[in-house]
Amino acid sequence: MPASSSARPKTLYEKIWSSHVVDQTEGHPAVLYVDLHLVHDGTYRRAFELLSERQLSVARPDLTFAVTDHCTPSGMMGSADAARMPAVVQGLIKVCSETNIKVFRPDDAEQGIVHIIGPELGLTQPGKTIICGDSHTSTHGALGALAFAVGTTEIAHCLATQCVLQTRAKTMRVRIDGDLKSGVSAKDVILALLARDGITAGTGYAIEYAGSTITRLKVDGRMTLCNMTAELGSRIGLISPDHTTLDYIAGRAYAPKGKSWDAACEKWLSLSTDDDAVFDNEVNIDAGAIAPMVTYGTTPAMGIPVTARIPNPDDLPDTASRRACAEALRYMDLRPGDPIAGKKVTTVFIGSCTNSRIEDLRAAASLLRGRKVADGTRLIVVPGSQSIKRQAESEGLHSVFRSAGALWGLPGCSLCVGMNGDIAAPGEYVASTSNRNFQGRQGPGVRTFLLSPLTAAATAVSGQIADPRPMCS
Amino acid sequence: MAVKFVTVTSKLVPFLLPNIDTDQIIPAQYVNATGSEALANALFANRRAASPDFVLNRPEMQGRSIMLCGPNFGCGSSREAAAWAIAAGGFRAMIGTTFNDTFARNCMQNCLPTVRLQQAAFDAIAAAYAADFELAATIDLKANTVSASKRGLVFPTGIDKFSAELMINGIDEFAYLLDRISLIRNFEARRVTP
Repeated sequence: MPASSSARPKTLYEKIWSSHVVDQTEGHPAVLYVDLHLVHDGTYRRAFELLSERQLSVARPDLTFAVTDHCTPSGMMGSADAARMPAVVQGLIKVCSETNIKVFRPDDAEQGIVHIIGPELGLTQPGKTIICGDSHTSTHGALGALAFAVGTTEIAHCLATQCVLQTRAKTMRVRIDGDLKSGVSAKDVILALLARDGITAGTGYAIEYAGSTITRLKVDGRMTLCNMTAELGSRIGLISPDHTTLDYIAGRAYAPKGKSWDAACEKWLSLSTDDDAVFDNEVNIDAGAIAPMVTYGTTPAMGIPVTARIPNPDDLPDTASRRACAEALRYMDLRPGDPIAGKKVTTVFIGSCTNSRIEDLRAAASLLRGRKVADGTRLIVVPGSQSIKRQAESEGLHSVFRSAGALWGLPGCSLCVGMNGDIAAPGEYVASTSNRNFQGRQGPGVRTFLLSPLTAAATAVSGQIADPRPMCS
Repeated sequence: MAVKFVTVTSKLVPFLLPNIDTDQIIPAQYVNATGSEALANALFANRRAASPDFVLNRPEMQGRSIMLCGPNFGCGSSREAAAWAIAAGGFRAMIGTTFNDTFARNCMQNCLPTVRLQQAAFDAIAAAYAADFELAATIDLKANTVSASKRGLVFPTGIDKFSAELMINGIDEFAYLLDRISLIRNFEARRVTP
């Protein structure tokens, strides 16, 4: 290969992609090798049936890890009976034991939401290709991995061959510069980006986040950004590995140790996007201009600053968005022109793979300390993993939540998706730190406001959508 | 993929709002439903329960097997149960402008083509449908066309050749990957991991 070609500056995505292509026939998708396959209780079942039907076995159980999270009881709401393991959870445990796949059960010390425990255990590493049958697999890209969602048939493909067929994505860089204002978090950044650019802005792209805001952002916040990259229509969020990445991974259970750690660090840092690499698309966002965000509608892009008024569909530029906005406001039973702040909520949920990490719980607790959840409102806090739960309890955060009147649940997806039975009542307004406000997402007829953990805490205290900034000392 | 797809002709069922997500197509509580009756009942279950006017509740829509979809159809959750429910509900194909990537791949694995038309072509078919709710369309993967012939509308399907070939021949990606298993094992043996 000529020197000029190999020296061409490359993006992180291109580097990981090209080192994992097993076979690429002209006009066909690439056969892409998978370094880590994460399996959960929500989408596994048919995949293992497909293997049995074809009399195939699991090729690399050592590269496959399973966890129960979607259907796992939280010990409250609709899944109050934590001792009763749903059949689908038992089924996952059984099939994993039959196929020699390591599975984290509801009562295991390492259990938690799949996108939380991957990074937490050090399984998620820069440069790896990672798949999971869940759209928020993009989360793992925060550590510089090429991670994307697949369907159940592709889970079966990977179980049998350790590969999936993929078409190479275009690349986009979202450059975020400036200082986040007090009371503003990564969640507000992604909601602001969605509100500005819409839910198909990322379709067909692998999105890399860069810029001074990202450099200063902790890994927890980076994961929130990459997580909701799925809401932009993209399957892949990425952040180039840096020393923040290495510090996060160091010492974790599955992280390389000793001499291989040093070698890994050198390799990982070299994966970062080269200075002059060219992206197919570039957008910028000014972090300093972002306020706490809340969604008013039924897509994550229907968001406004907490101080703003609900838009009027008639003001929108085209027929399709006018219809979509009017339909959303009808479902939400909200009036154009009303301020979003002050809208009553009966449930507040702090949890999900978007916002249930320790930094999220610390932010919420900082506002709740010495305050009470408003009468007529319930606050539900579900830590993302057993490890986060232990950490939070060692810091006394659970006491802050409980003293404020909150429920403190067992780790899992819970009310984000309601597959374990944790759903709200029809017509109810829920303020949620999760990722989707789709019709019926948190139960039939349930109306969801998406917001950050801090804004959720302020909302819980007020019993209505509230700006957290006046409450922060 | 046991089924093959060559051509399908059907009247259309319209889902024209943009961004219809997979939580609406199959609500989470039904994702682990098994059997085609349970999956068919799960298709748009919340929407059907909430409104007697919902398109799938209308008697004249029964038996139709092509969906006419608004942009970004199938966004959100990657649940393949959305494709299973659509197939169980008697649908064989979708016509739209854009589909969510993961959703479209899941549909392809189940031999459900997601026809991607240019905006003007889609608008022409949508206008023809608005003028005549009995309008039938034909999707022909071999000829790579979608047509509403009485109206003289014929457009390319926008489906890539590779996916079209798999669906036409009823071959699946499993077979494609298994054909390359020795390449995969060789690649694996050469891999250096940190």
